[in-house]
Amino acid sequence: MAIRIAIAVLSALVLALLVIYLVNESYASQFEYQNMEKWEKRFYTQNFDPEQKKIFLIGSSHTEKSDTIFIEKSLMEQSYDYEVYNLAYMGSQPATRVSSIDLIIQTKPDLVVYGLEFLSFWPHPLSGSSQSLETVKQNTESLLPEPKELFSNVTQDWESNFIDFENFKNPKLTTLKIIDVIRGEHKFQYQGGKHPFGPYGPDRVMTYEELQKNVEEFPFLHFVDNDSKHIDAMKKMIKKFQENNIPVIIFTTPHHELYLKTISEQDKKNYFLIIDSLVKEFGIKHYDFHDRYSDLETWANGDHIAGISIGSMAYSEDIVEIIIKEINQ
Amino acid sequence: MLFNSLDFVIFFSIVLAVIVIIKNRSFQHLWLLGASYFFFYYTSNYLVSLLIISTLLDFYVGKAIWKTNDIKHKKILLTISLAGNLGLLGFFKYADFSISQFNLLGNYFGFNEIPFLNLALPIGISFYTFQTISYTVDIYRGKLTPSKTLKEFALFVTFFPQLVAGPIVRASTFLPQLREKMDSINTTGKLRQIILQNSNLKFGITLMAFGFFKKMFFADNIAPLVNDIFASPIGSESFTIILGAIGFGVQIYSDFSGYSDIAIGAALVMGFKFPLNFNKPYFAISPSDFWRRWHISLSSWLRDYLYIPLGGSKKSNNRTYFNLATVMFLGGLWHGASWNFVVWGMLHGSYLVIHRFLKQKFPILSNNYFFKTWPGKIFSIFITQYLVFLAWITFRVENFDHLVYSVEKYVILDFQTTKTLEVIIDHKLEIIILILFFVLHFISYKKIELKDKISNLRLPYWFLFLLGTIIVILLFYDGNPIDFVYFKF
Repeated sequence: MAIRIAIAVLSALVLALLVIYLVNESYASQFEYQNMEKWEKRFYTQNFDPEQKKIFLIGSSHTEKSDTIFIEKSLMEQSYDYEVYNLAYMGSQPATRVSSIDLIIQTKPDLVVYGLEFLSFWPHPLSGSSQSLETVKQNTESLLPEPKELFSNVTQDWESNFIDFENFKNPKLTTLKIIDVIRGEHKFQYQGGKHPFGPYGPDRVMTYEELQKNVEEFPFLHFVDNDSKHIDAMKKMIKKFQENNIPVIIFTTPHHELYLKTISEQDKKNYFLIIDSLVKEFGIKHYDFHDRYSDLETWANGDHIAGISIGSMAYSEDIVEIIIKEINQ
Repeated sequence: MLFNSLDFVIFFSIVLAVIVIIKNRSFQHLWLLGASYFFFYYTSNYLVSLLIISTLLDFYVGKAIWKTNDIKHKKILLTISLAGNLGLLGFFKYADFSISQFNLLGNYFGFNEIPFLNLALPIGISFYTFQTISYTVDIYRGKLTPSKTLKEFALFVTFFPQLVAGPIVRASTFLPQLREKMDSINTTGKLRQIILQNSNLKFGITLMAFGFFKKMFFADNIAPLVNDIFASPIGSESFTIILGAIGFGVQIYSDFSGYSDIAIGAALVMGFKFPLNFNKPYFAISPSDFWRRWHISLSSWLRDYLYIPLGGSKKSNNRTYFNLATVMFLGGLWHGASWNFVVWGMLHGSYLVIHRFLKQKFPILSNNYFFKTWPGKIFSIFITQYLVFLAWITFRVENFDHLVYSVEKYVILDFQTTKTLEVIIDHKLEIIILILFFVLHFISYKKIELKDKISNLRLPYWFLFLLGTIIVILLFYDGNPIDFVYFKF
């Protein structure tokens, strides 16, 4: 009987894991950035009007918060007829974006405005390469060997060698999206439009107190060595744009003052050294917005301006300004 | 090691497997002892040394108290044990808090600030310290014979299911279970062989499944709502604060009683019966009834080792009120080195005092027929829980300004709903889970034997219960095991 009970428990565990794995495998691949490759292909291969001039805004979620409708309208008011597409998406870094460079070039944009940030050339915090302050603290506090570390090394080995846990890491996210789909509040399908890869809409503005808490919880307080693959990818993209006569300008995305305080002066200096080298090597323009709206009450969190807020309007106005400067050259 | 982690599942499976395979009594106990130390070491690293110190101190002091017939000598030995245990607890848990309070006063008088010690808080110290204190006190009182071997006593202190966050198990409950004659304290002294019995196995696993469900489905999924409300409550409407208080009440209950269920279930799988730690506290009809249902092992410990020695209710009314207030004040402080817990304890102390005062002054109230009817019971539950959830605000808020604002909004309703509706819309899932909690809490209140009934299901149905529970837990698991709230106590 005890063996039958043990088998029942084990079977329930294995079967439950299998169900969750299958649910995640079936649905997770259809969500947002996880299926970005497919979505990018759909966007870039659509039939664009060859007569219509186009501007592409590229970058991560920090670039996402500029309003294409506002930018188009402002350009039109000054007699510049451009379609503006915000192609930013969460977690985009040069090494991931470079895979779609040929598709971008095929669509022949008239200008590329590329948003970069302090994390652009570092291993992405969500990839788990950087360490949280808590982890760093814990590690330094241990006087005896840590069996916990040994265990996590073993599970990481399994993960990298045998099983792909990627879609299994946050089953709740998948469940919530499935619920949203059932309730008709979320579409799996690619949406298209001017913000094809990330929705643009109103976000709640955090109070200063909330921002303090939010910034304290950042998982990436401790930067590690910068990652040359991102710098190489950025160089490759700029070079390809220039070879195809597509003008490109870069800018540093804005952050709140509390967030900026979490980045060491040395890390900031390193970032700007990379930017300077890009500017010098390719003769492109760089605009620095990193602390421009840092004291405004307009932040959805420490490093994202709230959508449809005074900050996102100011941000969009500044982007209009740098676009016009570039067009007039 | 968190119960709600893959680490624990593997650890527990290995511990059980070895017990089943190697049926040697002595080895089994050594194995359990080693596993328990490893369990603690896994989380606390070198702080395992404190556990060893506490174990050695009380084992030898306990023996010495038993051996001597001199009352004076007994008292000195008991004082050594209390000073050692409370000294460790006080030093590691309250030193920095005391320094911060001293510095606050010192600033006023112009003294130099004392630097903080920045000590790491040893996990579970409040729990195992209370267990070892009860051991020496019971020997002093002549209610318990000391452990025969250090191995036996060490296993009582370190037994991994209850080591980190209780329930606080008494030696008089645990030691006989380790020995051959389980029903009597007067045992032969031989350690019994651990055999996994079918009924224990099934009921233990059912309890563990309930515990995991409470912790990982209810507590962890309600936490975002509570965190959102109490991150910056200033400016919130009354109904938002009430929602936050109810949310936190449910979160902490699901978290802590979930831990207790897993602990009691894990122990039962190995054949050890631990007492109930929670008994539907949100259906309590008075403050004293609440404390008979909430963290029962702590409240009964405080009753037996603090309230009764202080005189309990045997002396004057005023003395009884003082005893109640003192016990609850210290009970609050036991939870942690923060004024939050002190205020929480004092609030509960005042509830108990006022309740007792009203009962004595107006006996007609407690004997009133209305309170024996259903509407009367609902009324009593409502009033009691209103006060309990008010106290939870003091437990949860992060600073004094938040406390004053939140309590004011909770007590004096502003009848605004705009922002509350926004919070509800932003946290639809959490609200649904909150409602589901109360529905299930009510069902378990009405069907007292629910866990028994489930564990007695035929194997295929029981398997379906397990499968369904695990699937629901995993469907709403966000991949980050969250610490149990009571770990930090």
